Parts: sequence; structure tokens; C-alpha cells
Amino acid sequence: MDSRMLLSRRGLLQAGLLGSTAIWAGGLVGCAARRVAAPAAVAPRLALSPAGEEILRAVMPVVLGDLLPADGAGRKQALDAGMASLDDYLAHLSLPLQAEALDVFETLDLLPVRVLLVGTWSGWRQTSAATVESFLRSARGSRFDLLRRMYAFLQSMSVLAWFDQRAAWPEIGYPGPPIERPAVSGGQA
Amino acid sequence: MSTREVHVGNNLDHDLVLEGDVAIVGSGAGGAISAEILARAGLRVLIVEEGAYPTPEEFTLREVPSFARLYNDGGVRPTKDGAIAIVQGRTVGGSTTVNWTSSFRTPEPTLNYWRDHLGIQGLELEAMAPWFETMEQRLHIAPWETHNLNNELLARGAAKLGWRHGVIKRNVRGCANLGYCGVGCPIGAKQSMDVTAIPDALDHGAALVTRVRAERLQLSGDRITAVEGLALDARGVRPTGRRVSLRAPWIIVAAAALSSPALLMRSKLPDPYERIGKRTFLQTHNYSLAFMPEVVDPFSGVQQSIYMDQLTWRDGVAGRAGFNMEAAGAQPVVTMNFWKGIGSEMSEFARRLRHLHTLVSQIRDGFHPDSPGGEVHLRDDGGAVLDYPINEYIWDGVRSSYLAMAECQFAAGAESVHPACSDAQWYRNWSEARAGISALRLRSSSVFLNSTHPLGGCAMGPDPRASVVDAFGRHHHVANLAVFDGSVFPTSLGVNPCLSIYALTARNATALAERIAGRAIS
Repeated sequence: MDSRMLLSRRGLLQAGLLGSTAIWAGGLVGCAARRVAAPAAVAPRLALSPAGEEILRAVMPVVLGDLLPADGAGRKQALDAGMASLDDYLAHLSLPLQAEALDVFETLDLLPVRVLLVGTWSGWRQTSAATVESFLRSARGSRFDLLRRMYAFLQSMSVLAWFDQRAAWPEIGYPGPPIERPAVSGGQA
Repeated sequence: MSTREVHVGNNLDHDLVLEGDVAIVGSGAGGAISAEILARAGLRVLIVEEGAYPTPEEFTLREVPSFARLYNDGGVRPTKDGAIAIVQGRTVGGSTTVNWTSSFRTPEPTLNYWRDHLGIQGLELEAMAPWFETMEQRLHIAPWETHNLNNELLARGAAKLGWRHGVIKRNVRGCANLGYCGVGCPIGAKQSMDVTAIPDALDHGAALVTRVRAERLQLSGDRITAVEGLALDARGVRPTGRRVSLRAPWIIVAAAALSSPALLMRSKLPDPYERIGKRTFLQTHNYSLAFMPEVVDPFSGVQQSIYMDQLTWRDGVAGRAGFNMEAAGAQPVVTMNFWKGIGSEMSEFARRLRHLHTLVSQIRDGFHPDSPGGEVHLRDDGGAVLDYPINEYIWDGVRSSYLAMAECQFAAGAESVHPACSDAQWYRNWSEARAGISALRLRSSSVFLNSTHPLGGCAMGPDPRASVVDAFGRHHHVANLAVFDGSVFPTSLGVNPCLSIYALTARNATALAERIAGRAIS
């Protein structure tokens, strides 16, 4: 299998994940264009797709739990800064790896995948934290390497998005770098 | 000192052609040491590097933007099946700019294995000693005695168990014990190539071209006439359309494992025995997490200063997979990435960061018939991907090192230990850990594995049927091509590789300089 396809729709189908419900899934894949249209991103992005942003904004709070600020403004700031930082990170990856990340997001945003794997008919934004958490836990322990890889990827993106932010540090006892340097472009908070 | 000649690829508004005596692909441990030696011999050296050239003052000390800018594929270049993340620098100085400075001479069992099993002559311990000494002096490589607690605890555990351990030598000068080596030394204390051999080569007339990807070597008959490169944008991702050509009668490839063999493959160099890209090794790293009663502060102080090598050759050089052990504490993103928890598992873990103790084992590969390493393939876009299936031989090394790390951490006083594996759990004592790890299911993507030591793929050796270059790095089939980097090692090393690359390169680049100049080089 080409590395690009590891996490792709074709890879997913080849792995037989949807095989047991082939007729149903086949029908749904047939109208895959009926993805819930993602709303425009909050900021122009270099590499993070609208679908990717929707998914990561749903996954990040579930992975990080009460480490994220509880208040609305603090949480919004944490998510906004996290997405900007991930966008900058993804934009520096080689094009094949960027494409693979986009493919994961696109796959997870397909209606049949959302229904069969995540257990939701609505878009990621509307999906409850409990549903997202249950999907992540089942992916982590899955017998399919593909799903375990997806879990590792989404969890890792959440870690990258949060622990480099100043707001994350007091809670974990990290004093921050010993030398202050100006931030680079790319939404470093 | 005259003005240093540096061409910034992303700023080029025209195609660039440079002519010189030697063209070098890559500015890491191999490329930079070669450049310095050849430039000092009076030769006009041209260096092409895919990364940018930040100064120490420009390092931000922030993890995510540094991984994006200083590492290849953000530090997570995946193997073909995605099970192992390969960590390589992509900046002037290559991995030396972002490594943790741990400097070891090539172990004697490794050198002897090369001689006895692979027929490689001239690299015995006595023969290599002067080259190690030269490089140790050049790069201020000396034992580091100020250990943070993360390292102290490794020494404590090893001492309790009677395991051989020692102090790591580091290439630093005026080190302030900050512990930020992995994001670029902010004070220029680390004697990485970007602040040592590269500036020295530039001061001796070398030219450096940054943000240019070497696309192919132009072969004409049995000689290469030029290195053809594509200028990249400021992020180093997309070609700008400008072309760069380095023309020279001698060519050195030093783009490191994966990228060096890929360049040879893209250039369709003769490879009658299909050796290019074969036997690529990873010395796969796996990790063990522990909570200690005392405050460890793993993010502070030099990351690696103690090694444990009792088990590296545990079953003989050609036996079961052996492994070393070192500390692996770092800043929060790296440290948290070892832990694949969700929700309260994550927050409870993160809130105890100051008590976290982390060990890494590096599982040596390439010394056993069941450990042939991986193979480099070209993707459709010409980039390299490493096919490195994890077989039972490697899994045995993973399980054995999980056991040893847990035993060491409990011996050092750990309250609880958890291998960096989603299928494991927290063990409260050694007997619980021993039972749990012995029964642990090991499967890809659940076990956190990476490698900062990709090696091989252009193996050296006397026999063209089994190797790509000879022990002087000279290509078996192309008269004016040499490979001077970590890709020439015919096995992994059993230790962190930077000093082995410096020393072998110093030997081989000196021989090349003498051949070109027609006189001895002091």
C-alpha cells in the first residue's frame, strides 16, 4: 500500500472495516458528496482544511479534558491558538504528508464513516464530547492498525496544539523556556 | 575573514550555476566535516542544503514551530506502515543542530563485526582512534558531569542493579545546562555543524546554497558532472521554479539515511546488485514512563548525560536484539507525546509532569540474519519512504527493553511505571511490571516507537555485490562520487551516531582531499 493511502478512504475500505456492512456502506459511499458542508474556517489557513479544523476542534477538548480553560473565552483562545499552530506545523510538512493528513480529515468527515465509526449523523461540531470520546477509545484499542494510527494521529495533534501554549504551562508546572525569544509567525500563543 | 558566500534558495530570482572543485549534498555531520576539511585543503567547495540557516539568536525555544522548521517532516517522517517516526534535522547543520549532543565512539564490538563478518578493513579500534581524537578536540567533546535528576535516576537504578553505566561525552563549549538542545541551542554552545564546520568552511572560500533540494546527480559516462537542484519556497515545501546547478569534478553525497540513497536512486546511478537503499537501520527507540516521589523536572537541564550499556551486547554481538538505555526528558510537547491518554487520563498525567521520569532504549539492528533492516523506496513524487516492517526480532528487543527500563526505574525508587504503549497499564512494583510486560500485546501504533538514528542504505564494504561504497566512502561504480554520512554504516552502531559520522568522515574526506590535491594534508 502506498504510504499516502494508509489512512485514506481506499485504505479504510481495503482494510475491510466497512466490509461487513458493505451494501449499506456502499450505498452511502456512493453519495459521499453529501458530507456536511463545513463552515468557513475562522481564519485563512495554509494547510489545515475546514474538515480538519472541525474535527480537531471536537477532538482536542476531549483529549485534553479539564486541562483546557473552563471559561468560554479562555477555551476559545486555546482552541484558536491551537489551530493556528497546527496549521503552521502542517504547512511545513512535505506535500505527500500534508496530503495524507488532509485525506484522514476528509475520510473522517464522510457521512458513512461518521455514522459507522464515530456513531453520529451530525457534523463533528454538533457531536457530543461523549460520542467523540467513545470513538477515540474504540479507535485506540481497535484490532485494525488503521484505526489505531488514526487515534495516534488525532491524539498527537491535540498534544501539539496545546502543550506549546503558554496558557498550558502553569497547570503542569512547566516554567517555560529560560530565554525569551520573539515568537515566529504562525499563531504561537 | 572575507564575506561568507551564502545563497538563499527561496530568494533566488534567477537560476544559479556554481562551479567548484567539490560539490557536497547536505550540511550535516558528514557534509559539514567534509566541507571544512576540503576547503581548508584549498579546494573550492560548494554545499547544497534543503533546510534554512537560522542563527542561534533566531532559535525560538518553542517546540512546535521548531519541529516544523528545523526537522524533516516535523520530526515525524513515517516509515511505510507508519509504525515508526523517523526524526531527522532539516536545517543547516542537519541533525547536529537539533540533536542532544550525546557523543560516543563506535563501540569495539561493532567495528569488529564489520571486520569479521563483512570484511571491512582499516576501521579497527586502533586505526580509528586518531580520527576520534581529532574530532573530539575539534568539537570540544568531553564528559558532562552536571546531571539533572532524570539522568541521576538512571545512574541510581543501574547502580542498584549492578548494570554497567557511565557518563556521556558532549560536544559543547560554554554550555549553560539549559536542556533545549532539541530545538536548537539558543546560545551557540552546542558545537553543531551550523556554528563550527560550516562557518569555517565558508571562511575558507566554500559557498553554501540553502533551501535547495538536490534533485539528481547528472551522470555522464562513469562520472557525475553536476548536482541539479530545485530551489524551494521559504517553508522548504514547494519548488519555486528556480534551478540550481553545482558543477564540480568531485561529488560528495551527505544527505543522510533515506535521502542519500533516494538521491542515488532518482539519479538512476548504476546499481547492478540492487544494493542502494537496502539495509537501512533505525536502532528503534522505545520509551518507559515512571512517576518518582521526588521532583524530577524532566524539561530542565542537559537531557542526556548518563548511558547504560549493560544489555547492548547481552546475547553476543550477533545474538538477540540488544539495547542501550538513556534518559529522555524534554519539554512538554515531546514528553506528553509519549503518553496516549484521553481526558482525565491525560490531565492527571500532565499535572504530575514535574515528577515524570522517562527512559529510552535504542534497539540495535543489522547484526543478525533476522535483522536485515528496511528498504528505501521512491514515492511517486521522488521522495524517499522507508519500508521497515517490525518483525519478531525487533519486538523481542522492545519487550526486553520495556522490562529492563521498568526494572531500572523501580530500582531507582519509582512509585509507578508505564511503558509508552497504549495497551499497557500503570504497574506499581517490579513484579507487577514483569508479569504485565511479559504478557503485553505488542502491536504497531499502540507501541510508541521512533528513531533519531536512521543509518545505512548506502552500505560500505569491499564487495560490490553486498555494498554501495567502499570503506573510504567511494562509490563502487561511479568514479568521482563519494558518500560521507550515516548512510554508509553497514549495521546500526549500538550508540548515538554523531561522533561515528564525524570520525569516519574526517578519515575519508582527508583521504579524498589528499587524492585531489596530490599531497598529504596535515
